[in-house]
Amino acid sequence: MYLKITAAITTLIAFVLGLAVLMNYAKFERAFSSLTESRLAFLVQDLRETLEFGLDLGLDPAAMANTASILAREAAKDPQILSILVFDDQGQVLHRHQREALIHPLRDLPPGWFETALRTHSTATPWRASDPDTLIVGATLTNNFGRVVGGIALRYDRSFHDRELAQALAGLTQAAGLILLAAALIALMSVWLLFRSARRDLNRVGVALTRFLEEADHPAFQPGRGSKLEAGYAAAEQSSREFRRRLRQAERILHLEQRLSNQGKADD
Amino acid sequence: MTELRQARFVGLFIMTLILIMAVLIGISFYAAWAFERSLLPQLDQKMLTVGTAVNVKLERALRYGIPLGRLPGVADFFGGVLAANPDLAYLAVTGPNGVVLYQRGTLLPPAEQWGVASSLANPPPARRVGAAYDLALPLQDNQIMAGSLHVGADASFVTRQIRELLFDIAIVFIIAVLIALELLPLIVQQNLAAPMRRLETVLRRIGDGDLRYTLPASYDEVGRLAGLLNRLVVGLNTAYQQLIHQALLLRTAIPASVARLDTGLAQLRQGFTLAPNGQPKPYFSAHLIGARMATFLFVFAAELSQPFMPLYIRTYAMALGDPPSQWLIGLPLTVFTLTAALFMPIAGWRFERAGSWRTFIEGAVLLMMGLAGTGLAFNFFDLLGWRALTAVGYAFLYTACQGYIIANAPEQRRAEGGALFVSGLMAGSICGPAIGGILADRIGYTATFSCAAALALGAGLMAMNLLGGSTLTALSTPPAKRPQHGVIRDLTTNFRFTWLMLFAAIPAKLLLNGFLFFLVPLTLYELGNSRSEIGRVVMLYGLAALFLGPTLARLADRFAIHGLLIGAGGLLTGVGLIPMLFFPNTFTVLAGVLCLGLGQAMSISPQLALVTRICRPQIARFGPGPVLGFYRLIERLGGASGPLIMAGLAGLLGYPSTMTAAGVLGVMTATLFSVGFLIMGVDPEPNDQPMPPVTPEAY
Repeated sequence: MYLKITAAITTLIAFVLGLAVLMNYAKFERAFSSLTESRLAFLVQDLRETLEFGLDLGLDPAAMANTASILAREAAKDPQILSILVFDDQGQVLHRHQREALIHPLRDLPPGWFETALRTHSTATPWRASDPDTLIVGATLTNNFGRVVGGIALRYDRSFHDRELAQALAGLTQAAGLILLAAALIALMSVWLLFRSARRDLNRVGVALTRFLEEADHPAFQPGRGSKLEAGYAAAEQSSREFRRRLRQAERILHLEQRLSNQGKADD
Repeated sequence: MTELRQARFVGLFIMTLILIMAVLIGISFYAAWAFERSLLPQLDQKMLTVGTAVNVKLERALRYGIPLGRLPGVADFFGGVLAANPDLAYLAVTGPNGVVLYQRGTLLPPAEQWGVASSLANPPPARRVGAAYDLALPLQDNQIMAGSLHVGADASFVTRQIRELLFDIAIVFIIAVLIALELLPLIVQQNLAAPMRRLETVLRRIGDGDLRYTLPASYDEVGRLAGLLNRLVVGLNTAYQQLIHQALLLRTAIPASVARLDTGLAQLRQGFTLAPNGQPKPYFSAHLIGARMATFLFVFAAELSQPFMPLYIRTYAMALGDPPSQWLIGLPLTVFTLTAALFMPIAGWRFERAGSWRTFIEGAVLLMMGLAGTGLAFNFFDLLGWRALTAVGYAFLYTACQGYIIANAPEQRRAEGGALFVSGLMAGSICGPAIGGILADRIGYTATFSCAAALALGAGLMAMNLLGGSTLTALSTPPAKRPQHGVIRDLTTNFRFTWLMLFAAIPAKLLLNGFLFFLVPLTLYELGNSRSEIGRVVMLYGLAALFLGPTLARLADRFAIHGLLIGAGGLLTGVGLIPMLFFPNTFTVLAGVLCLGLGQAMSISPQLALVTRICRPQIARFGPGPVLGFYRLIERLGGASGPLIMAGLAGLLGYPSTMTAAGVLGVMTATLFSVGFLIMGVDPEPNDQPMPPVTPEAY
């Protein structure tokens, strides 16, 4: 009885904790991703301003000699930046900076990816995308006539981002588990305290009924004050005692009749 | 439950609420701590990135020989950077002596608290200054320290994230309370109250000499005592049977003893009732709380998809036209309501024939298949089919639960039984949308439909476990013989009934289905709300109706103001929707939903009471069943038309104007209803007959 009620309360608390963990994790994921992406967007925006300064001077993006060093300088600001690419409006990569010490070679983005990015994303603000390995933050490059001449794509190591999120989820789950355990123990104790008088009544009646079943002449049960169960049992015991008495009486009549019958047969 | 047991249950409920609150507070505090640990380094890095970029620009100006104190437009430049990075609070430049030269933003520390930067190569982490985290970076002019650039971020950035969650946590708490209100009575009832009541009943019967019943066995304290009691009852019956057997033998052997034996046995039996053939039967009682829990679960399952259903339908309708026609989005909603309305009589017939247990299981299987199919639909047309199947399951479950409660509730507690059903229904319709929205946001549509199907399965299993052993599963008393034909003709010629249907009942359901189920999700989504937020707004309707409905129904009965409340409720619903054209924002939609909840709470129960009053001659002739059945059918057909009418209007006017148009329709119909009944009055003749009892309907 205690365990079933405690199990129900624990299930309810587990449900509540599950929802709370889900919501907290979702909030954390949003806040963490938004912070990371806004930082990378700032980097990309800064890079765009630098490159567009050259474009404004009338330089061809492909021919801007210092682009590689600019990309290297920006990439050096964060070891999680895997590569920075500058591409033209046809999707041809013009400049590329890739981190050298990569454990796994970085997969190229699918053909046509850059053209699609230029076509579908806003020209005003940096845009975000992702693939299984990297977070991608990009921006379009426009010349001083407002024409799109290419874009920048910064690829960021997703594993760090995913590891942080996984750690947060694991931490939340562990904390929820501990809280659940504590809550279950408190619930068990409270249920035991709340229902102990019911259990006491049940035990008292159980003991009395066992004795009544085993010893026919056991003294009558005395119910405690205010216990409906005990009062009910006392009445039932009295009634059963009376029925047993009548059964014995009837048995005696039967025996007597049988004896009379046997005696009659013997007399014959 | 006795008073003592009720007190124990209240204690258990309070303890559970305290525990739920404590665990929510505990996990929120942990989250705040964990967020701070993970997010602060990220915030630090952001500040450093922005600071370094700004630094480069300022140092370039210094290299051109412009003194730090005379740089033009620095504050405006800072303004632009802050506008693009809302997670930063301020940017400031201080001279080598710590005097502020330029600053922009909020939470700026007092003059004496500005620190001095050390090195850019290895900058220290941001430090707490007042209400902000401050990162100081050196500004160098030809290797000489010219000043410091300060980048600030709100120190309550992390706690703000947690604070933004408070509303969600409060919603979780409300849902947990509602689930606790469903779950705890069930558990206490099933494990303690009902077995104890059965035990006390059988003991009382034994005390009164009735030895016909044993108790169902179980493995707990009550079960052990039940086992002992069964031994006693079986033992007494067996002893009696043996005696009878011996007496029979003796009667055959000694015919002269028959009279004496009969007298002895008659004395033995006097005041006692023994089990036929010496085999006592287990004593069962109906499980009304179990039926309520099953109701809660199936409504929870069905309503889980409510806040995003139009958005989900839109993804399928896109394949038929981009942008999709509003009619196509409204069609599956109409198919659902229409199918449910048309299948209610069939479900009623099935219930009469097969009983609640089988009807419930069939309904749960249909609902489960319908929900799973909806989540996995291939195209728009099979989606329509799955919605229809879900509606059939819904109709079966609705009828089975309602029928079970009505059939098993004691005669004098029928109204209480009805309220039990309605409260389960309302609690499900509050929890479903709120949780459905959160789930859809996190795990997607298909997984949410899978959860709904699993809940339907849970409802079915619960029904198998709880409703099967009832003493009564179908209506035992056959309806009195009354004429079956002519009820529709009779009702349509009742002008008051027609007026009530046209200007109160149909508009109420039309607005409910058209506004709440169609317009609210689409409008809120268009206003940029997530599915969780849509779910929370939709949930408010149920909350308003659940908490205010019973009170307003009592007020209507007490002061006999049914007509007034129907008119006022209709007006309030309409007025609540009108401002949307002028203030198209989330708050206006939320206010509209609350007005709808309040308006419906005011009008639904009084409508039913008014029908029984104005249709007294028809009820006397045909009985309450056909009259109320016709009323509910017409009302539901009005509900089915809601999404299509709103879709038609939305295609022409857009969502905000459609809401306003719906509001104008609500005001007009409520005014016509009120004027009509003011002129006609409620009763055609003086009323001296009591109204027949009716079962309440959900809001």
